[in-house]
Amino acid sequence: MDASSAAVKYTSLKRAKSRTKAVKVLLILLSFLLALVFAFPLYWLLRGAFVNHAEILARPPVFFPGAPGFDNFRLGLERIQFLRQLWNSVSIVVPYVIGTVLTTSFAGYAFAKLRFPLRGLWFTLVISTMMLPSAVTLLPQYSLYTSMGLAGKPALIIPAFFCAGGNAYFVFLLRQFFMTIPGELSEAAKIDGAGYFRIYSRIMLPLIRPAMIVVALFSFINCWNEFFYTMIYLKTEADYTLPMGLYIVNGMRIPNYEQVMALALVVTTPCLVFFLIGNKYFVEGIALTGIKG
Amino acid sequence: MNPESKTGTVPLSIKKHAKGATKEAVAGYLFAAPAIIGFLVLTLYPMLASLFYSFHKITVMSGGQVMEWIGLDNFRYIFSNPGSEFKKSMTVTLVYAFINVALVIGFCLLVALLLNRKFLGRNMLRAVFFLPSVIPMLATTIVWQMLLQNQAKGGLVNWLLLQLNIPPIDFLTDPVHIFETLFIMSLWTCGGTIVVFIATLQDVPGELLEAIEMDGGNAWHKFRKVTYPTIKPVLFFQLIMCMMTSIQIYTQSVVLSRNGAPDRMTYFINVMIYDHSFVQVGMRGLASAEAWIVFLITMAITGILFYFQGALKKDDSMGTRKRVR
Repeated sequence: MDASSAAVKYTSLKRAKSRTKAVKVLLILLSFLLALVFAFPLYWLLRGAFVNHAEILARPPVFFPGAPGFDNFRLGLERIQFLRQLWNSVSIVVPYVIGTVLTTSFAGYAFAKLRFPLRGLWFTLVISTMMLPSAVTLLPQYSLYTSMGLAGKPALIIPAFFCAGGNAYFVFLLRQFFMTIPGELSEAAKIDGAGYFRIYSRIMLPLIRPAMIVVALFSFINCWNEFFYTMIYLKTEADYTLPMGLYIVNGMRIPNYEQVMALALVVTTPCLVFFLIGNKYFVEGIALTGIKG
Repeated sequence: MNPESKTGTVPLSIKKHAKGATKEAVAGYLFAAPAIIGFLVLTLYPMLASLFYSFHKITVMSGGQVMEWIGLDNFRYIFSNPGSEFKKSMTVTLVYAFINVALVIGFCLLVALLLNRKFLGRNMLRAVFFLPSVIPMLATTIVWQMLLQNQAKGGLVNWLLLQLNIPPIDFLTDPVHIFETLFIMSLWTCGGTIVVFIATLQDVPGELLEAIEMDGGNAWHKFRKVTYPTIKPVLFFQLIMCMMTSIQIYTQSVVLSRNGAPDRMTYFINVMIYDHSFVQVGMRGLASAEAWIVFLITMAITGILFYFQGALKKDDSMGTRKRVR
């Protein structure tokens, strides 16, 4: 009786084990299926940019363009002032990223490594701006920039130099990184007579380079994709950025979807390229900004 | 050498030390200056100015703004005038935000749990789930618009439904179905949260999971007793951040529809405040009052979330102590 019950137990255990294995395989299959669903819209964007006008509305739908060419891109780009808008986007993004990397790393260093009165209070205040709805500061900021003659491109760039406009996130991220650097390093440098700026630039910066790359990548993406504030500050068509050009074409009465898709792909491409270059940094950076308990 | 000189050196070293501390404090303020000035000029001042504006009727003239003190009239208008757009806008925004947060957090957690087991191609899948979150929301909205519009305009999903003999769904023009579109796009772009959750799940102690398995606990027990307490702080933080971004939804609405059509169901708070501030004339004071109410409501929501986090924490810390014993 004992032996048989043991045998029953053994087979049931074995069955349970094979069952959990089957469940595991099923779950992995499910993950792949879900990933396929996630990847599909991107494929659809790609397809849309390369099919011709007849194919984009064809029923049944054309999944693979018959004669892929770059006509949609040519026609799409002709509908916006492409070079001008590209230049506008670039001339906003480049100073924005530089400003972000500089000032958020300054602040991160100060809040992590330097002792000064009210440090904790200032840090809390700066970080709490992450949770502030942008609508509250919208109008006075607009009046402020307008009264100083800066309502336009400068209004989109200036916040980057003051850890504002959502950049408090990066201050937090960089502070976390600076905290991991042992204090002895800067103590030794201090004894050798190095000033704080020297310690920051010669010792600290090289050590947190991965974090700086993360911040640069993210601020690029954020700024390139910015839409709400560009709608507010860029009033004349000559100042429009690429996303705004795309928005205008998409809203036209005859949108020509295949051209819109081509333009959407053009606007998306820098993000895709940076993603492919920095996938590792992105994932690490995001994981770190999750605020680990 | 003598006691006097000794006492003379002590204050000197303290002085030196104090000098070092002052130097460090000055350096600290210099390094933090951009952030501090940014907070004061670009956040604190605008917030207070916004509050000040909210008690005014502001008319934009060619020469500038003319401000007229009207006390609480803006707030009275918002809450008691039937013509006020605020109540509907705030309601749809909050409904969207709450459902969206629940969906996003639940979905991201599920995907993270799926991807948490080790298997071939896991990193590739992680990249696939993350990729949509880096592309511009504008492009995202346009692609999904293409997929979900009616099939005569090339909508793929409705064509598929037609093949399956399911009546087509007006994803973009029906006041209720439009929310499905917004949720789909929101889930599609939540890869960042998935990555955070995956990273957090790495910290879940494997020994404890095994111990529960030995005791005959199922997957739910494991999640409730070990996984959840470990990831809770991160979960909570993501919840708040997701709430903040949900309340500030803008791009999706203006790309999909003008003026919040259908039936002002996507006339979200940020769309309305943008309109009142920059499109319509003479409503800047009202817009400021609306913005301040939004601010107070979000503060209240965050406060309530913090309160719940605290309440749950007490309960859990007791549980942990029990388990350790």
